[in-house]
Amino acid sequence: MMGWIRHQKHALTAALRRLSSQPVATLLTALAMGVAISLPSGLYLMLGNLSRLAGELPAQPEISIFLDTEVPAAHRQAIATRLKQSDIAQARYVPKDEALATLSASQDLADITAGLTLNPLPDAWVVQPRATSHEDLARVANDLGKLPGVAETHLDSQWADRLQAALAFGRTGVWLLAGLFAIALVAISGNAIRAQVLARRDEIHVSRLIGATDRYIRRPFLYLGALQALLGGLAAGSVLAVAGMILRAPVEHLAGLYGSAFHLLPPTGIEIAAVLGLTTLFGWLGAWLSVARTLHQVEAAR
Amino acid sequence: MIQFSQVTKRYPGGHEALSDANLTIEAGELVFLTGHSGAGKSTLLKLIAAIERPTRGVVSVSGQNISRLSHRAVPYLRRNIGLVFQDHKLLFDRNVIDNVVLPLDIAGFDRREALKRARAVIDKVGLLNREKANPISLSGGEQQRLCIARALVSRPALLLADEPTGNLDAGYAADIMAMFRDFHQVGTTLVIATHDDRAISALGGRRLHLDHGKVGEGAA
Repeated sequence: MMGWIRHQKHALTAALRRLSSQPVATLLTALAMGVAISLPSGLYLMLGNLSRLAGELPAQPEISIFLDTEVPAAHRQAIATRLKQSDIAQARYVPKDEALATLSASQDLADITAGLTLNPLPDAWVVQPRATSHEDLARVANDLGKLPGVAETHLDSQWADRLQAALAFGRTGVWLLAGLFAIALVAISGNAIRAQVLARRDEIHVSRLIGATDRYIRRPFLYLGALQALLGGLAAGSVLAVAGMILRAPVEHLAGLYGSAFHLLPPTGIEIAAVLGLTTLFGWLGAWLSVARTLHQVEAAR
Repeated sequence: MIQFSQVTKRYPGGHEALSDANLTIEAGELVFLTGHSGAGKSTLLKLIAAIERPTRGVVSVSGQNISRLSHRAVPYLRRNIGLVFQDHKLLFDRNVIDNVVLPLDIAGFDRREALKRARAVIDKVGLLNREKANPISLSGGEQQRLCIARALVSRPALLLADEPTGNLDAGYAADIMAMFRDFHQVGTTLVIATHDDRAISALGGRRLHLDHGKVGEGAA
């Protein structure tokens, strides 16, 4: 166990020494990785901010419930009770007089309503369900439509559906892009490590002759790949921080013109940790693939 | 300690470096391998250290059958064998003491203990005042002594040396051979491939003569 920890420590310091002994190469590789990582991460951040903006808009789908003209008090009570259940976020009762008053208030329709002797409008509820998906909304609307005394339900979710679909499309794009750039990261890491292995051919050969195991030889390169990718992740963070600083003023100006106090939010600590962790993992993976292959070639050449 | 029975080594391409070789080397022996270039001396040493595998026959070292040794077991075999090369195989990206410490790092020694041991063995080969030097700045004889220090630092029971004095002038060569005699006297088994007849007669010991891959006992 002690020997194992000692080996890890030894490999880590060896990797750090190798990184710091070639600062320019290290920096360039980190930059290449940083740019690759910052693209999907940046898109992810942009999308997060957009969904937040969408949440501030009245995009919440609504169900209108129109009642029959003559509804017994018991049925009215039953509907009111049903609308207090947990799948309903908010429900507002609109009596037919209020509906007519609202209608009369709008100028275009005032003439028409003035000519009416009877109020033709039904009593209604305007309901905001908790559900967001189209299927769930339709199910809730259908459910409510079956209550006694309900004449008709009307689900208004088109605008919300379109927005959600656009955001879902964006999210799929982020994952697709993230997958592609993860492959790029593995390739960049693998290539950098391959160069390192070739540069250390003699050391590898001598170490083998004096009893080094495969693991002993592989270990510093794996650490090297992981550390290099971690640096790449930090570089991506810097790129995004600079981009955020540049974009903040114009975004706030634009939002101000719309009368909104919207501003860009930075990623959370968990998101930063997740990106750095994944980056490190992919760097390690690239190193592992590359070391296994390159060591084989180096040894076959002896 | 070392046993060859009917060992043949044929390299890809057909060259037969060893043919039907039989030999036994006991623990604590000092053995010289002689013979012209290409007689199979290096091949014999490589078979002992599992750098090459025999084409036919059985090579056994400390009771382990080298032909059947798994790839994963080879490093542990080599940790008990000190190797001295004609071309030294030193690493020029690190100083003298870091070269010597390498086998102990590989074996997972505590760093401070490893440095202590390395310093002791560097002292023994007479390079203590050069421990921070880069090996490239050492003379040929000093480089060979450094290579010996690295081979001995993990206190192996067996030391294999391939032409250790091949590139050295007579004075340095005598130095190196005197060092080998000291190790022999403390019980290390030594197998030395050499052309250096003067050294053999000065040190005594057993002599195995190789001729076109055939092993024969020579006069001591």
